[in-house]
Amino acid sequence: MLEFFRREVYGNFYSWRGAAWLVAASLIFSLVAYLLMTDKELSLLQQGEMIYILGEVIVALGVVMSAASASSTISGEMEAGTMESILLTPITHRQIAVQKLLSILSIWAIFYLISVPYLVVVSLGTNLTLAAVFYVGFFGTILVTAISSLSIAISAKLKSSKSSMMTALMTIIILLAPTMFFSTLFRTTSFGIMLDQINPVSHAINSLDSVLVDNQQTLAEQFNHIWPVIVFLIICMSLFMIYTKRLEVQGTQ
Amino acid sequence: MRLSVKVTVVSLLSLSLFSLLMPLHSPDQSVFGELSPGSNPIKMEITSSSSINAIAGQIITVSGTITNLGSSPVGGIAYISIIDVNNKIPIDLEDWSAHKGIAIDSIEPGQSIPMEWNVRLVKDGSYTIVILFSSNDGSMSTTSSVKTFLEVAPKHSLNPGNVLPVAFGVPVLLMAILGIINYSRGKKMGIYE
Repeated sequence: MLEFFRREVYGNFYSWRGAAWLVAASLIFSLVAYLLMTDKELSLLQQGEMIYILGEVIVALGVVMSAASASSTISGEMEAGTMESILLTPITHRQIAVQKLLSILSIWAIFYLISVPYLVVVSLGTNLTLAAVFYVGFFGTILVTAISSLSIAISAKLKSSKSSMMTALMTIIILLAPTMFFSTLFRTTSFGIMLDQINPVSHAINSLDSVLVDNQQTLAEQFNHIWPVIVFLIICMSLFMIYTKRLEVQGTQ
Repeated sequence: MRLSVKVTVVSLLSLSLFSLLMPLHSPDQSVFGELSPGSNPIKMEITSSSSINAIAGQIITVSGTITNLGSSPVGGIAYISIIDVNNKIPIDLEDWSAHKGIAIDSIEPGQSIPMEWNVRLVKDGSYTIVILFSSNDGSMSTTSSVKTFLEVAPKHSLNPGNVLPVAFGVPVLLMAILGIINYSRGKKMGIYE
């Protein structure tokens, strides 16, 4: 039943190519944590802000990694000519797509486990450790699930790895732009506020800010940020269900 | 004899005149409390220490009060301002304080409201802090408190001790685990025979 899932996971972890993601991520976390704690100017930041910056990096990297991995799952099989044999197996097309989604979520799970020691060490001496570990995991898991399912849907629809990867990465850049690239001043304008209101990634990042910098740790206080992210997940899952109902190989010639 | 009478009468008259005029110039509270027309009825006062010594990175709390000495309610915004003494410029409080202004809807005559600002000391140097009040209707000039002097020493005690084992340990451990997994798989498949 879970044969594809097992095969994908083996492919991810038994090859250096798949594991390189995780090693690269741990090196990035090491660099960010080391700079935050030792750089003369960055170490002046309030500890809550340091955890927030690290949390932001973890969620953003997780989203980018999942989009890059998921956007070629279906189209990659089609281009390699292996999709026909997969479709001959006695499971539904949607089950194939779900198992591919689960394999990407398993990478996120390892990715998240790697990030936990960094969150703990940066939050040492504060009351934010549990909140940081919980909320980064919570928002990271929802966003990675949503983005992965959206990328798989795009991959199934476009049937071209190049096109689906470009589309998925463009979507990610658009979603991450308000929080990662726009200035604080721009975000306080009415247009910036509107972008923040409709962008699920902004809601997740703003919620981390609220929890870790403003110390508003309860789920009730974060409800206004949580529900837009869950709505985004429902929309992405719906697209996933629609476009993976029937996987067609034709059109890849 | 006539001269001594004259002196006595003049002395008594002077004394009477002085006692009549005295209340107009004495620092009696009832007279002192009344403000001359056009003067500012708002008093801003920093109640925390008038001189602060701290280290960059610390968060200090600046406390103050606003008092309405006038006869009518006043609304406005109380805010904090920090001046860099060495560079002779006001600093941008973007990174220093999350809540720069406190909106006061209305302060009744005679009422006093306590206020607090948490300020993160981003950069070392010499600064002066004042708290100010600007009324909503613009009918009075901006009121300022007396300066508080702030000396921020640079932070030298960076602490890489906690992060180093994790920053170096996790990637090394991860590569070791992945290497062992790959090697054991390769051995099973006969690659490393």
